[in-house]
Amino acid sequence: MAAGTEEEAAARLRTGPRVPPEEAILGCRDVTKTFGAVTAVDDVTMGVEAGEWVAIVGPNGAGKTSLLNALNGFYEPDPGGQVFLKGEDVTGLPEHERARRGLGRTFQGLELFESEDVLENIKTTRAVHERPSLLEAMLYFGPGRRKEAESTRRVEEIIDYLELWEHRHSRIASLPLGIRRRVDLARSLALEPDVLLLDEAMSGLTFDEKYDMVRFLTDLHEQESLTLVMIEHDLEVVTEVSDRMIVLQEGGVIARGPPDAVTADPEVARVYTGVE
Amino acid sequence: MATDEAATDRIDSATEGEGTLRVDRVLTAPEEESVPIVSDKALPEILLDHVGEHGDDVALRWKRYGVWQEYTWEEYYDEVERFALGLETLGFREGDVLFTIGYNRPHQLWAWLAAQSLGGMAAPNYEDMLPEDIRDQLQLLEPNVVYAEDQEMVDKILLVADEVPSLETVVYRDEKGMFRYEDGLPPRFDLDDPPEIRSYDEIRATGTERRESGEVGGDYLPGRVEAIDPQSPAMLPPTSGTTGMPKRVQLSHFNFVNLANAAIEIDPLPKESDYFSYLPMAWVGEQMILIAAAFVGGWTANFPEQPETEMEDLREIGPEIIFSSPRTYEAWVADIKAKIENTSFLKRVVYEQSMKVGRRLAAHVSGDERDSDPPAWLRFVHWLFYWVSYRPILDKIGLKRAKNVYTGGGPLGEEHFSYYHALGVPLKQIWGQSEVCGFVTMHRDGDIQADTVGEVFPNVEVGITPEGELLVRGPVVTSGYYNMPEKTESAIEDGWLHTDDFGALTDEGHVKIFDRMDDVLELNDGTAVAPISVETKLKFNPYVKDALVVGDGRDYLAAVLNIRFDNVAEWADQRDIQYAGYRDLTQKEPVLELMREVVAETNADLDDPIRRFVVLFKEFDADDGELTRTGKIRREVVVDRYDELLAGLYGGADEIEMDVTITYQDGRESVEHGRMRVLEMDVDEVTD
Repeated sequence: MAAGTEEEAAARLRTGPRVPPEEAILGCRDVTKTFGAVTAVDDVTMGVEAGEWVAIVGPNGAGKTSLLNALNGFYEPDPGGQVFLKGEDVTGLPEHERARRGLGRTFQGLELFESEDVLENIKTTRAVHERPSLLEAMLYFGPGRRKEAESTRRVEEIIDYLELWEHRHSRIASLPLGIRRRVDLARSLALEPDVLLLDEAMSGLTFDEKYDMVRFLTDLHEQESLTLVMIEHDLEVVTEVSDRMIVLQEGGVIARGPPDAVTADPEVARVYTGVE
Repeated sequence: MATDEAATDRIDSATEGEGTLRVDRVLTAPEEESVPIVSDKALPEILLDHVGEHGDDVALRWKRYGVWQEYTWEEYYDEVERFALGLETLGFREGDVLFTIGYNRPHQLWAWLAAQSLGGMAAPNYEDMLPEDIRDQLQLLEPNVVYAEDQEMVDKILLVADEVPSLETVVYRDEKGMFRYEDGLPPRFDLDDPPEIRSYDEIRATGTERRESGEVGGDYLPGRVEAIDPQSPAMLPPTSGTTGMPKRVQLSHFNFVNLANAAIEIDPLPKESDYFSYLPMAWVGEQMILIAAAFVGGWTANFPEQPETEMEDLREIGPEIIFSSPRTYEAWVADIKAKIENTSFLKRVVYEQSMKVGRRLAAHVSGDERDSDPPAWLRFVHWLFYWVSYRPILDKIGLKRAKNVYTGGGPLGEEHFSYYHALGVPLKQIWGQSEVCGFVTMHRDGDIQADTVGEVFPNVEVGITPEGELLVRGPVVTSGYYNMPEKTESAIEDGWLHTDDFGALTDEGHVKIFDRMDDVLELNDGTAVAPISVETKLKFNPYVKDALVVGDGRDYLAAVLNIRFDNVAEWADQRDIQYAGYRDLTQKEPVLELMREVVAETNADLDDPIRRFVVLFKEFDADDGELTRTGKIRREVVVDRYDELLAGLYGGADEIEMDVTITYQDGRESVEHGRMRVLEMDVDEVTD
């Protein structure tokens, strides 16, 4: 490849977002997040198209989880930054409000109720989504009952989809990591998201467990047209499944584009390997 | 009662066969059991009878989305009709074969009945079969339609579809993952003439449309059912394939109906009694219950949610009728024993005391004292222990409500029998094979003998040749193997079916089975040994999952053992023994010593002890051709595959190293290297 072409290719990886954040299903403009003297996220602008599978990669401390936290409302960005969900500015909205509007999230640290069983964990999340009126809650008939039946049906469909049948009544504390990550995914699906943020959903999993997780996510993405934004360290998985990659370093975007082009980029290689 | 005084009258001696076959003795059913032969009913007709007589009774249950969904007999027929009318549009005609492969689901059952209603037959297959085995069966059966449960099974069919010219349509039930096939097959299937891929729901909807548009009237399918010849084949179950590629047995409506009538006569149960369907649907015993006994008896068949939830679902249903393979009963005993070892001191003491009482009662049920009734005090103490010990145990394994409890498909050791009788479970042995609808003999209430397989079914005759081979004749016997006339000719002679089982007929009217004719081994001193009886003794120990006993043409017996991983792993964990997986665990010194104790215990009961043994570094596996899909050892294959190992066992080696090719479910292979210690038993000490 000629030197000029290489430069052009590299330049393409360093242009702005493909979709303006305001028109994306999920996006942010000029988002910065500082903690005292530390800048965790540095002026990031990005946009994810509906039905896309975007991977956010970068070395440890690059600001990936902070960016996810800013997107889902766990952190409020520094003044001037904006977050958009389905074309709407949701910057000031709390996390649960964004969840109600279709933004789901799994956690690297698995925020599950350890002493509850799988069914209870999923149902509890679903109940937040339901939010019955006081009257419905007090009078258990009519719409309240129908709503609960529908809710139970939805939870069972998720259990079926993620093949959690045999673990339905197992306590979280007794389950291996692979199943717990699946339960975390089930909980986020209980809120019927349009966009799902996955924070290292495959971290610590064995080969078989990763295979299963990729299978479930691929089915959700292809069959249910779920938009996925994932943080993932395993570059093999990322290049295999994602449509686009965004590479962060020290809080800022250093490259974005199709996985093959991004992984071939010398700057990205330098960030990952430390070799000039 | 133990001795049937009329039994000796039921044994005809020295009957000369009509042709060249010599039949020494013939045994028939107890005289009081009289069941008329029915020759004018096809299986779908019985289904229609149920719809007319008690259509609102529950016929089926399937756990779906965590809830037991119920289907009445009326809904059952409705499902069969919709699918049958759809199946017909795929070109399925009278005499055609519907190839089915899948887990235990009502849909597979509806598909079978739909095929039969159209005058065809169903050929069920084990869901874990490898693609090349599926190809062989497809080529033998030449179906134009295949029913496959899910994407995994559809994929296995597609991998070999190019080699099966008859195949036109694959119908799948589970939608999961199948959306990828909507716009053509994925590129990994490079087929010249790919079959159509259609969903079960789509075929069902086509049938519904035909009915609702008036294209066919409400009397169309009942008319087709009425036209079925009861002597025509209804099912083509596979043989177990212990000696090669499984054959297909033609079993007619007549075979099934008459066997079911006899079974219900022997062990009647009220309508809507629960049966739990979890044995593979390709197994003839499961077919016999699902489409014959449950039909005739009006029982409710319950299907688990998934194979993974079977045990939990079984416990929820607590069925009255249990039919399981010996492996399941062995696994339950191993599980109970392992759990008891890890329970509190008090519970262990209660269990041990209760089992002492249980064993004494078991001796009156099926042991040495079965001629006498148990004394009142023993019955009372057993009843007391039922509430504190047996009932909680039975509840854990789903046998709390079990009344008709059977094992079949292979021999279960006497120790296991006595264990269940001690718990108060009236376990009975059934003997049969695919060629006779799975049932020829069965224990009767009050006459369970742990060392026999019971008495003959009504209308059936069991004969024995001078060589000791058992023969069967009667309305349960197949008309032959599908598309294999030469095999049929060698299996059926003068109306007698050669069972290839080596056995005996007792004066009490029972049948005894020692082993397969070809498997009985002869030591160099002329002693004949039935290896299966030694293997079942070894498997009574909770730490042994499988065993192969060898010695034909040798001076002594030797064994190859498989550990029961879960139990041995727990045993090792309690002793802080570190190991890195199955292979490593099998060769740990303490584990080998544990196995030495197991073999020593077994040797104490043997005239010819096991002198040397190894613990194999891998499990015997059906995917490697070492077991049949029902879990029986394919002795010839295993002996051939491990000839190096057996040479080492008899060659005095202290350690054996070997490579073994492992086959995965999708057909991939890898070579595993293993090193095994050979253990020598101190036989003199044991036999003294």
